[in-house]
This record gives sequence, C-alpha cells and structure tokens, in this order.
Amino acid sequence: MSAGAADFTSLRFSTRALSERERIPLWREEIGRSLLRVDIESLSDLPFHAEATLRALPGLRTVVYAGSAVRLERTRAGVADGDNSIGIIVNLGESGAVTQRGREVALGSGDAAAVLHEEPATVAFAQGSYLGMLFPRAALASCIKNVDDATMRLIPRDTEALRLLVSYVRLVADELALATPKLRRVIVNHIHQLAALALGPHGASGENGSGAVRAARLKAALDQIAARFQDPELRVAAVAQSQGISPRYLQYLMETSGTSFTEHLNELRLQRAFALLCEASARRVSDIALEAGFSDISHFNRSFRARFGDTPSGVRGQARGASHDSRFPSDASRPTSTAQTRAKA
Amino acid sequence: MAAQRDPIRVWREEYARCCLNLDFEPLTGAPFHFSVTPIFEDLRVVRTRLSPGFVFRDEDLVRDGDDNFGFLISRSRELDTTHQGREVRLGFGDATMMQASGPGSAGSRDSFGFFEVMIPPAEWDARSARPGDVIMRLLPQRSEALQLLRGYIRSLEKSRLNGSAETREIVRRHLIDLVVLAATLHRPIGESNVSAVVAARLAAALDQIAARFHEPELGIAAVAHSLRISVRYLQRVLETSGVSFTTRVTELRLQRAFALLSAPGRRRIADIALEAGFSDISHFNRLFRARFGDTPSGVRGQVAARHGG
Repeated sequence: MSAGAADFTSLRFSTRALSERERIPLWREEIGRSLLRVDIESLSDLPFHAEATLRALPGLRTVVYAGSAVRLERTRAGVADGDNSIGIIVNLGESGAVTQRGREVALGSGDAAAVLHEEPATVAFAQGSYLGMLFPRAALASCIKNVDDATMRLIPRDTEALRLLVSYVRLVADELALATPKLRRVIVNHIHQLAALALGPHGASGENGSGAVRAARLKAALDQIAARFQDPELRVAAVAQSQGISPRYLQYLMETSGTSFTEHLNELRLQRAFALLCEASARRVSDIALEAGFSDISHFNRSFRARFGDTPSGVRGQARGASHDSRFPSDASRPTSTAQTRAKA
Repeated sequence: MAAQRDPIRVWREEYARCCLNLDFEPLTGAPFHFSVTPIFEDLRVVRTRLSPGFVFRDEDLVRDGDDNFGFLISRSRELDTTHQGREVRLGFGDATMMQASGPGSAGSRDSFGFFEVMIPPAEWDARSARPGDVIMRLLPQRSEALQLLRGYIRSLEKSRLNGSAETREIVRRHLIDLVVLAATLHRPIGESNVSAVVAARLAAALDQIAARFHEPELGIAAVAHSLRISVRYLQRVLETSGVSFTTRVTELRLQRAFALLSAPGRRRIADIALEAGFSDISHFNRLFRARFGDTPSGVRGQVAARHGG
C-alpha cells in the first residue's frame, strides 16, 4: 500500500483565509454540492466562520463542525441525489433543533437525533458546534427493526451507546489515518453497531441488535449444553467460553428463552435419568444419577420428585409394570424442555 | 514490614476480584499505596496504580488454572515487564501481552499504573489470530488500533456502563476486536481481508494517481484505461480507501502546491498552481485557502519568515 501524501483520508475546510463574501459560496461548492448535498445558511449577524473536518470511509461519513450559528438544510434539490443514508446529528454546542416530516426535536448540549437523508430536513445550531454522521441505510437496517421509526426521536445525552459512539467517532474523525483496510472495516463495523444501539429502543427490554443473531447464539449454546450436560462439572463459564461469549451474556440469552442455565441443565439431567430408569436394567439409582450428571444423590432425589411427582424407584417400578411389550417409553410421554422448543422455533 | 502486609493483601484481593490473581513486591521502603478501578467486568478490564515495586504471578499463583491472555497497557513512563524469559520496557501508552498460565511480572522503580484487559484463548481462535506471536512484543503507543482501544477504555471508564446485556456484549466484542487488531496489525505482513487482488489494484491505482495528478486533464477514465480495468471497477477499488478520485486528486494537488510554495525560490504562484495540476487559478486560490486557512502567498511568506527570509 502506498504511503505518505497518497494515503490521506480526510478533508478540512476553514474560512480563516477566505473573504467574507466567498465563504458561504465556497462551502456550498466544495462541501454542500459534492460531499454532503446539504445547503448552509448563517444564522448570525456576524460574518460566517467555520472550521470543519470531513471524513469519508467506506460505510461512514463524518463532519465535525465548529463555527458560526448555522442552519443546514437538506433541500428538495439535494434529496434528488437519491442518497438514502441515515444521519445522526449530535449537538456539541449549547442548543439546536432538527426538523423533518413536520416534526421538530430540540437538542440540548450532547443530545442527538437521527434523520433520513433521503427526505428534506433542517438542522439549526445556536452555538455552532456539532458532529454529523451518515450511515448507509442497510448497515443500520440489519440491526434495527424499523429504521424509519428510530429517526426524529431525541437520543438523550446520557444514553450510554451514544456516549460510546461519540467518543469513538471523534477519535476516528479527528485524529487517525486508519491506515489499513482491515482496521477501517472493523472500526466502521463497531461504529455501526454503536449507532444501532443508540438508535434502538432503550429501557427494560434491552431488545437491541439482531434477533436472528441472538437466536443463533442461543441455539449454539443449547447444543453445547445438550452435548455436555452429563459432565457434573459443567459450568456456565465453560459453555460461554466455548461459544466465545461472556457468562453474563449467556445467562441473558437463557433468560430470553424463559429459563436459566441451571434450570435447563437440571432439566436435561432429570430427563436423562428418567429415560435410564425406564430402561430394562437393574442399575443402581445412584449410578444412573451419576451418569445423568448429578454428583449429589440427595439433591438428585429431591429434584426428581419435585419434577416428576414420584421417587426414582417409583418411576422405575411403574415403567416395569407398564412396558411388558415395549422397552422404551414413547417420546410423547416425556415433557420437553421449554428452552429447546423455543430455540427450534 | 508487618504494617505493609495488610494493604498489600487488600490490593491483592481487590485485583483478584475484578481481574487476576497477582501478588505485589514493594521495591523501596516507601509507603505502600494503590488504587484499583474496575472498568468493565465482562472482560475483566481494570486500571490500577501502585507505589514503586512490581506485581507478579509466580509458580504458585499460576496453579489457579487461569489461562487467559493479559493485555497490558502502560500508564507510566517506564513499566518493566518480564515473561517467558523475555523483558520488555513499556513507555506511556505502550502495550504488551502475557499469558496468565505462566509466571510474569510488571513494575517500576517509580509509582506506576496500567490498564489490564483479559482475553480468553477462545476469542483469539474465533478471530483466527495467534496470541503466541504477540506475547512480550512491544506494541507502540502510536499504533492506531491501540489509540482506539485506549480511547474506548477511557470512555467506558467515564460512562460507568451499566447497560443491557446486549450493549455489554457488543462492547465486550469491540474491546476484544481492538486488542486483536492492536496485537496483529502492526506486523508488516498478514494484512487485510480485502482480497489481495483488490489491495494490489488499489496500490497500483494510487501509484498511478500519485504519479499523474499534476496533469490538469487527468480523469478517472485515463487511470482506469492505463490499469486496463473499467471505470466502475476502479471506483469500487478506490471506495475501499474511503476517498473518491476527485477528492484525492484535489488533495494531492493542494499538497504539491503547498510543498512548492514552501520551497525556496520566487516562482510565480500561477506557475506553481499549473505545475500542481490546477488549470484555473481562481479555483486554486479558493480551494487552497479553504484547505490551509491561508492564501498561497501568505503560506510562502510564513515559510520565508521562518527561514529568516
């Protein structure tokens, strides 16, 4: 890869050396027309001044702007470029507002809102300092159920994902050359994920991110548990590690399936013990418990009775009495685990 | 001595709780002091500060069976680390890595501090990265991935994350990605998942543009033609660098003009603009001022003044 001058990735714009008359026209020409397709208008009686850094990476465009109070407008003419990116605007100054589709969102310092770049919109900042980001629609749509619904809502300044997003993007937008394509790709992907988190619904549900990815992870974790439940030492940490996720996240995944790791593990062991007891052999109950993954016999006995309403030897006796011509209980007679059923669904 | 034992044990217990079983050996008679700041427990990210001495894992401690990789980022001017028979001295912001399954130490004659991030072995496998290559290698502070990682950790420290499980999982993955990038990207080889063909095409295109940008007539079609690829394909290749053809050519011309203006000699600005590839002087003037915040003659004057006329 070539180095030096050929490897720059950002564009700076400064009005310092421009005459007052040509500042706005040159902005329009250099930035408004080619890079952002956004018109600019000074809201101040003082001469327009601005320092801006624009950056275009594959999958991410950023603007860091400091200067005069301004009104930025995505006009009907601008929209004609067909760019359907999703914008996130963060107010780094004191007060601002975004308007689109007849709705207005007031932005205090640090607040943000998302806009549809494919429709007319205006943004006004009294103290001109803001961070703008443009994301390809597809990059966010794959993480958020309904991108359109996520726009024109206040993203309050104390939103964790927003704060992470802003500090990440500022590092990328101001300072770093991001010299290798791999670095760029990973970083832009991170920024997409944080943007999706910031845009997604907040609160108790925590339902961000892709449901399909979550379901796949849950399924993989359940498979792993199903393969290893007979190991009495099996812990949540070991399963999480084998899946490359954190124990906390695994527990969360299990909760979304309506059970817990321990409950699910216990259920699999009890089912196995039940099946072994129904086989025509005279193995000791304690051996069966051990094979099913229990290490504590009295714990096994208690759980078994609570689960099946009978003692292990009681179940064995019934199975013997019922199965003169069939050695195995039918599958239908066995309760299935909720977690497994849901993961398959 | 006895009075110093207790606070050390307190530090040890706090550190073990949020990161790793370590012990501490004070170096001088100076009073022992410490701080431990857990930053992100899902990945055992912690910041600690200690009085002069060194932290270590010895043959006894490694029996705890922890085999995670400890990524260490220095927060002091000098941090001496030893592990696997090698020594590395870290400056402020530098990083290195050790594996918890083997003995190792980190310390300084002065008060010192560091961030530590614990990465499970499986995470390296999942990213097809080999942690063994990184152990006890000095990763310099200015590495971009390392800058991003430090920035990420600092912003986590500031915001005291207590988000949803989903948020925490995403953050956990980001941190691991950045550690793996910091550990692997500075190596001269093994770059990129962009296909080698695209990377080679991009390099060739950038070389072409760098060699020919001063031709006022240079268009994307000419470059595509000389590379024997289509214009559309060249655009796609250039997109992987994040900068369009026009933006790149303009920037190269402006930088060339800037360099020529900074060189001694009193060539006319119009000639310089022409040599840099601009055919319209007023267009050049405006672009130059917007880019560098000064007029071409202003830049020349400044350079001349700096060199004493």
